[in-house]
Amino acid sequence: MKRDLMKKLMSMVIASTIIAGCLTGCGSTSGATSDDPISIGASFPLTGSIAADGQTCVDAINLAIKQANEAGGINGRTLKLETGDDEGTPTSAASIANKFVDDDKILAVVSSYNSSCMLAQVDIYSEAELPCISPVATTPALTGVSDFFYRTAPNDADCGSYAGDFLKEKGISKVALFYENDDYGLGLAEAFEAKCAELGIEIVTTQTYVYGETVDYSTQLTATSGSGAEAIFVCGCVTEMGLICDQRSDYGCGDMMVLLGNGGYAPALLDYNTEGVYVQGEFDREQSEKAKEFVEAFKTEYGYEPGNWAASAYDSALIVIEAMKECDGDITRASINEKISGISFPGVCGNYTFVNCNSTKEELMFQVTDKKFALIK
Amino acid sequence: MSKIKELINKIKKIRLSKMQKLVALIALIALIVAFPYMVNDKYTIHVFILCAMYACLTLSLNLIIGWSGQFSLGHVCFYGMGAYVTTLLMMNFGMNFFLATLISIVFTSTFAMLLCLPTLKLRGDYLAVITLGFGEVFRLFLTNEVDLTKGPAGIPSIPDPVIFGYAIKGKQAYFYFIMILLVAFIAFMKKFNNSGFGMAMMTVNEDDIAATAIGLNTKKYKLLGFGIGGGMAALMGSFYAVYMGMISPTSFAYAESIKMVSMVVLGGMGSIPGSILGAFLLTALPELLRAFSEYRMVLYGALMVVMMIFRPEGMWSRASRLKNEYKIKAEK
Repeated sequence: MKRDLMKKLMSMVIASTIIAGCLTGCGSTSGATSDDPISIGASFPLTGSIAADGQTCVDAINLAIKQANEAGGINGRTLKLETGDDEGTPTSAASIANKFVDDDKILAVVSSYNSSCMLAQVDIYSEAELPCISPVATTPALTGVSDFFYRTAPNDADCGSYAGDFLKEKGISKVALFYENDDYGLGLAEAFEAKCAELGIEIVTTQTYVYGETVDYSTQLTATSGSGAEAIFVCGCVTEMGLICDQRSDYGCGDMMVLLGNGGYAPALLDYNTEGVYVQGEFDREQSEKAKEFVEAFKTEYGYEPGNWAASAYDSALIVIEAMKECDGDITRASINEKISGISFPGVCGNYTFVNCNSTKEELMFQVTDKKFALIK
Repeated sequence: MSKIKELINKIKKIRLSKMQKLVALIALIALIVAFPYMVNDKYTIHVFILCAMYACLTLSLNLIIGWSGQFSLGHVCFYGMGAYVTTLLMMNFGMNFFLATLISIVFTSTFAMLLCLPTLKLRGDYLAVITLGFGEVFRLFLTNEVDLTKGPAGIPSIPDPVIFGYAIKGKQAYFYFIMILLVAFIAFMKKFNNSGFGMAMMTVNEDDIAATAIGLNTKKYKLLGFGIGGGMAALMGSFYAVYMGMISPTSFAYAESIKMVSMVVLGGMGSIPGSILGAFLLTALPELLRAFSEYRMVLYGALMVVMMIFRPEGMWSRASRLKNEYKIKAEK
């Protein structure tokens, strides 16, 4: 019996030593030497319902890194991408952020897709003084949130007021507001409502739908047709916008002007009945040389056309890379952050400088003409 | 597989004397206290905090499923309610975290019992569907009641809890905080398990009619099962809110309920060590599997299937304890 107990105790001791050994192993991180590759972290949803959207951002960042490495890297050091799957949930996003923060080799982060994930991460990055650029998180709650956070994504507040101004210019006084019921749709809708109140545009009806689920818009469009609206403004994503455009004439809304938020600026929109529809966009794929080059390179690499967020993610990565180049050899989290905060960078979507976490890049307005996005403003 | 079984057998057979128990306890406390200093690694500490949090949540759900025998698929509703009530009280009335948590526990408990009231006669699948529906209703309420809950955008910058003028801030403080909560939960569940009340609840779980025959008020035990489990989940929701610093309806989606049910089922229904084991495994596993990037979720699913094939009753189930599967000799 006694020997048995000894055996048990011994095995317990050994087991606990092994566990302790593993744990301390986790804690040790080696300092980066000057020849090591520099890592950039990217946290996006790579599983779940928005996995495709997350993947297109990662593809764009990978493209930027590949091009930079082909051009010789940064002071001879190559760049490496560390991706993390945040599943589109804040809890996972926080896990990824902690992982990135602990990794000494990661000197900057491009993250994240959902605003809620970004909000869960931003404090963790700031505390570790790790600079982060978000290509997609648009919520106004992120304005001025930290000295280490920037976004190439437009602020919903700016987009909403841009849309309001545009409708005013077009002489619209009564508008129907459609939005998808999530943080993106609601954020944009609220900003738009505020601007309309200021400009004296009346919102005659507000209709909601669910991203990825609603396919039949008869209720929303019937309510709109009887409301006296002269225009419809939609805050949402491509598929739903396309369906609304397809179905609008069946329910008596065919004559109304349609304005789509920046979520609609993707080639997939052109497959729907969207002739004459106005779309807010982030980059001009038809005319800007930079954008053309990017679209071409992206298509050859991945075989599909990039949308708004891919372009924005590409710009985010380019800004991080540019800041690293400007650091002139002394590449640390702090020096990169300092360079990003003072950067003035011409990207695919326009010229970036950062004020209060937001970029000062201008919004663009397109009209679908002959199955193409024509820049009108 | 048999080796693992043997190992579990061995561990289960270990009977320690009082002195040895005391030494083990002190060693465990020392390990917990030293842990954040040993691993100066935020990610590891963060994963352990999540593990401990899910262990507490699993215990609370196990009380409803394992002890009171009511299959609930809407646990996220109580968890989320706790998070939202506490947060709203803290943000709108500047209330102290602990007071707000107390109110949210009472509120959620009452609510859980009210939800249970009309469903008392339902068991099994029917109750599961009702609770499942309720979890969804709750999420939609959070999403659409924009004026109250700020809707899908969520509530950011939730302040840290303050106790006696000291703010709980940073990973280490939260690690100690959740460990204290976990120990309290385990102590409570042990007490509960061995109490007459707990036994009575298990009797009601095993057989309604027999329980009535020996004079037990079955309604009371079912209601309180939901009430206590709901209250415990609310406490964890409150912890989650202050730890993450932001809450949004996406954190309280249906998938989260399923995750907790998986932890209960894989760990072992009606078992305290099983709950903890299940929670630690299912929280740490997806993190450990991150190295496999895109195959991560496939592997995770496959491992769950394998576990269910080889140990359908859970890893450390009450059933095996009752059957004395491991041939534990009674203490002399």
